[in-house]
Amino acid sequence: MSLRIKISAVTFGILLGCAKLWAEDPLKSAQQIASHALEANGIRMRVAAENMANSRSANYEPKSVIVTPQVDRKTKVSSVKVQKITKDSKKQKRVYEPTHPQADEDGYVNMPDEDPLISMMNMQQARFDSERAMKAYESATDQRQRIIKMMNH
Amino acid sequence: MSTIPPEMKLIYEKMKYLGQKQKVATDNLSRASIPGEGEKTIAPFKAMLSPTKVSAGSVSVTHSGHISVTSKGSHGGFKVKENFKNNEVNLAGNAISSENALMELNDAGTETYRYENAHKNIAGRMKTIYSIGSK
Repeated sequence: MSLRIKISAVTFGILLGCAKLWAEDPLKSAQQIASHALEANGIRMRVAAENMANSRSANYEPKSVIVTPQVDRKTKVSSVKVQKITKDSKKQKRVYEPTHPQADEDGYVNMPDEDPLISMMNMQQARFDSERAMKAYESATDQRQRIIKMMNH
Repeated sequence: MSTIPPEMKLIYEKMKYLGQKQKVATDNLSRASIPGEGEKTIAPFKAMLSPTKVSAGSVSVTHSGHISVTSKGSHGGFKVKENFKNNEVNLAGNAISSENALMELNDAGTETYRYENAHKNIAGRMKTIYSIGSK
C-alpha cells in the first residue's frame, strides 16, 4: 500500500472513530435522562409553589407530586417521569372564621393543613435536584463537544 | 477502507466507556430523590478488557491489561455492566448517593479532557511522521 493511501486510510479511520463516538448513544441518553429529570423537578417546584401560595386559601387541597422511574421502550433509556399529581382532601383543617365569604353556617372554613415550611423544603429539594440534573446535562454536552473537537485534531 | 491505530482505538473505547459512565451517573442523579431506588454501578474499565493474546511483533501480549503495540493487534472490547446493588438506605429512602454520582460525573469529565489531549498528541505525532515520510 502506498504511503498516500495509507495516510488517507488512517485519517479516514480516525474521522470514522470520532464520528462513531459522537453518534454514540450513552451521551445522548445522558442528555435525555437529565432533561427528563429537569422537567420532573420543574413540576415539583411548581406544585410546591402552588401549595405555598395557597396555604391560606379556603377549600384548597394540597397537592403532591409522584415521580417514578420509567424506561422508554423505543430508546431503552431509563429516566424519571411525573406519574401523577395527587390532591389530598384529608389535609384540611376547620378554622373558625365567621367573616370569611366561604364560611359555612357555623362560621367554619376548610383551610389546607399543609405546613408552608414543608412546602418550602420540598421546593428547596426540587431546586437542588434541578441543579444536579443541569450539571449532568452540561457535563454530557461538554463531553460531546470534546468529541467534535477531536475530529479537528 | 479505514485503518485506526491501536492507541486511537483504545482512546475511542475509553471514550465510549466514559460516555456510558456519564449515562449511569446521570441516571443515578435523576433518581436520587425517589424512595426505594438502588444505585447502578459500572465496572472499572480495566476489568472490562477481555483477556486476549495478541501478538505484537516479537513481543507477546499475554495480560488483558497490556496495550498491544502492533497496528494489527486488538486490545479487546469491553462489556458494560450496570449492577443494581442495594446498599444502606439514606434519608431520601433509597440507596443512591448523589454525591457519589456527582463525583463520577466529574471524573468522567476530567478523564474525557485527558483522553482528548492524548488523542491530540497522537494525531499530532502521526501527522509529523507522515509529513516526514512523504518528503
